[in-house]
Amino acid sequence: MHRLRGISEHVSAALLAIIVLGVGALVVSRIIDNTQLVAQQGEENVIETKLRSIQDLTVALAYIDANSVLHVVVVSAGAPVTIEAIYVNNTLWNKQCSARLANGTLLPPPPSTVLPYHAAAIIDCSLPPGARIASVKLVYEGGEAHAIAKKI
Amino acid sequence: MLLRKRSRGIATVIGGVLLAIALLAIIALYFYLQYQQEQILNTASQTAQTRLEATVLALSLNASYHYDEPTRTLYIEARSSAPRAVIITSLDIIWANNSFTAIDRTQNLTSLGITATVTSLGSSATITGFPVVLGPGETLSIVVRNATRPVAAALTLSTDLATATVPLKPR
Repeated sequence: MHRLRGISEHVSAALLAIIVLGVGALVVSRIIDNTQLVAQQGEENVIETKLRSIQDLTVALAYIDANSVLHVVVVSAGAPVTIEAIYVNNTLWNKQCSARLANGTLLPPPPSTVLPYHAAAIIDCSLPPGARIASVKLVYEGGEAHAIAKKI
Repeated sequence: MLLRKRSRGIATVIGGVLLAIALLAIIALYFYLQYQQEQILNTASQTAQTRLEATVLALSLNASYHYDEPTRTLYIEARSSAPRAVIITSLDIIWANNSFTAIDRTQNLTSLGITATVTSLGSSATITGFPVVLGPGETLSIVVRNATRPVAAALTLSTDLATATVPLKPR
């Protein structure tokens, strides 16, 4: 007749140490992974803020012509500017607008309009017939530029 | 009995070390995130300051235009009283015939029939295109021939990272 015998104390001690080490290492590695992820996201935020901060845009002129076409000339500072959206009277107006450089070179429409540094972009937008005043908002990566255009 | 106590002791030490590592990682993350927030705030405040400076410098540019009807010539003059150099990046004009002109560094002034000079303490230099760097006390003179009557005109200036519009006053 065989008697059942418990595992030795040495084995139980080793097993306990292995379990604590295994589970602990898993928990610690998860914490370190998450820490690294959060730190990386924070670093990306810092870089994004710095990249956005160097973009600046000013509205040089804005008016509506006799054919109800809104003309806006914007000028960039010392860094290229990405124009993401054009709003007319608080309505997204990207599809009714085209953009070109001052020398006539066509630019892709927003949100892909990239204006080189120290350059002027001419934005022409079709407005409904009879439009006399328009509130224009240009959203670019560094912020927003606003202007009010009137028919002349 | 002694061995069981020792094994618990070992497990406690291992657990304690791992807990300490985890706590240290969390504390380090806290300080690092605080440092990143500080960087973002500094960048935002520097940006606001640069943009404000551009607006203030725009006020130090005394710019005006005069249209001579008989010769159909537009004379533009901009004198800088800023204590440091400013960069003039473009000239934008709305004409009385409902059209407009925007001139920047992508165009050659001579080929557009425009003459531009920068005068500084008696000496003058011809400019062929934008951007024009205008030092303290310097005057930029632009002559546009065969021009129709303008209704409004503006120059834009830049302080490298910020830009502002300077409307021209009629003389």
